[in-house]
Amino acid sequence: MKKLLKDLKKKNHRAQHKLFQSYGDYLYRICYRYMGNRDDAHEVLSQSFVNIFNKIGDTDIEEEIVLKAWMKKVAVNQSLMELRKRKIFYAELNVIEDIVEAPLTSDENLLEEDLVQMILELPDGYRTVFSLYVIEGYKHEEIAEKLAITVSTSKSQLRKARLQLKQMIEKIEGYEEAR
Amino acid sequence: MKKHVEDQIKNAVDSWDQKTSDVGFDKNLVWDSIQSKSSKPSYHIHWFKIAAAVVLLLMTWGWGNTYFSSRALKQENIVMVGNIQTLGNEIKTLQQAKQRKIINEPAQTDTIIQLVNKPVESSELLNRYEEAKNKNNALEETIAILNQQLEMRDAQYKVLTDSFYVLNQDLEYYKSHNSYDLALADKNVKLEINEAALSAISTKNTVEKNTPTEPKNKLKLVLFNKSKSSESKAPAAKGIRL
Repeated sequence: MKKLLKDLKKKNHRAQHKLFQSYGDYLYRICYRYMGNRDDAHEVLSQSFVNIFNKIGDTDIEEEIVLKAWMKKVAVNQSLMELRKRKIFYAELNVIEDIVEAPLTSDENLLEEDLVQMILELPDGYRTVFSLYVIEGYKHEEIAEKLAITVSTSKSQLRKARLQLKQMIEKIEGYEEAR
Repeated sequence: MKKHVEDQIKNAVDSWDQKTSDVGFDKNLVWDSIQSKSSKPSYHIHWFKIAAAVVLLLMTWGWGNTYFSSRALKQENIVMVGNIQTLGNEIKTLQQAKQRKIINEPAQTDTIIQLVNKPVESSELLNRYEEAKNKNNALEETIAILNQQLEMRDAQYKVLTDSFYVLNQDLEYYKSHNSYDLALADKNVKLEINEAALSAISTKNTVEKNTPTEPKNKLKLVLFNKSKSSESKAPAAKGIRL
């Protein structure tokens, strides 16, 4: 791994191809989750790898786990950059205090594919804020900074994402009960 | 949404991300895209490198130019120093030559005569010619006069010669005719001078004047002739009386 990192820092072509073969699927999934379609995921993934190849020489990464986390961060940031360009976020006029959190009606264990599919089916803004808040663990202030939106917009987008997910879960549960 | 549901979603997504199964994206297409995109920055690096190379070339050129300029100046400086030394030597040589000239100057006796072709006007030449001609004529006249004078002198000389000749002849004639009388006269006639009386007279004349009261000294000149004796007494002029 150290040799791979050394070669990557030297911009060795074979090392870059090896890295792409090893982590291409992983980063593609992340990009796909954020972008919501294959073409955009392809575009963001390729740009993410370009950034990784160009910037890895400036880092002091020596472990694979650190490399993986750093590459994920690069991919997420590239996805957010692309989404920001599309101006998918709109200011929410709703007051935060007025928002009533809708409780999830079912505690049943949901299938992994179903959950991922639910995430992917969310609108771009909801999906992005939900992914950053729930999956990546960012706070609203950080999300607002990353997406160049206000904190209230981030909270609003999250609330709506949760509402929509609840509806989706209820829908799936109703379908399961009907079967 | 309850927290555990969100955790469940998070775990499901993380698990999905970690799956190694093919998610159906065209790796070759993405790799080609990466290659085409990554080549762009390399262009930037290329340009940067080119710019750096240009800067280096300019600096090298500047350094080289400065180096060669300084070297040329150094050479010029050396040449100038050489010239200065040569000039100094020449000055010394000239000074020495000058001194030698000054020393040798008194020994130089050669006179350099330069023929200067001075253009003389024809009128001046004509004047000179006329002047010379006149001088020539005057000289010729003088010569003619001198010739005349010479001729006259010659004539006079001839007359004198003739007169001399005549006188000589007369002399010869008189000699021949009066030779007897002359020889006779030489034999009989003597002159006796009373020297004591003469010296007395001469000393007296120098000391005192003769006065009419003093007895007059008389010089007695006696002419003896063998045949007859005659005595003549005469007062000497200014104290001398015959």
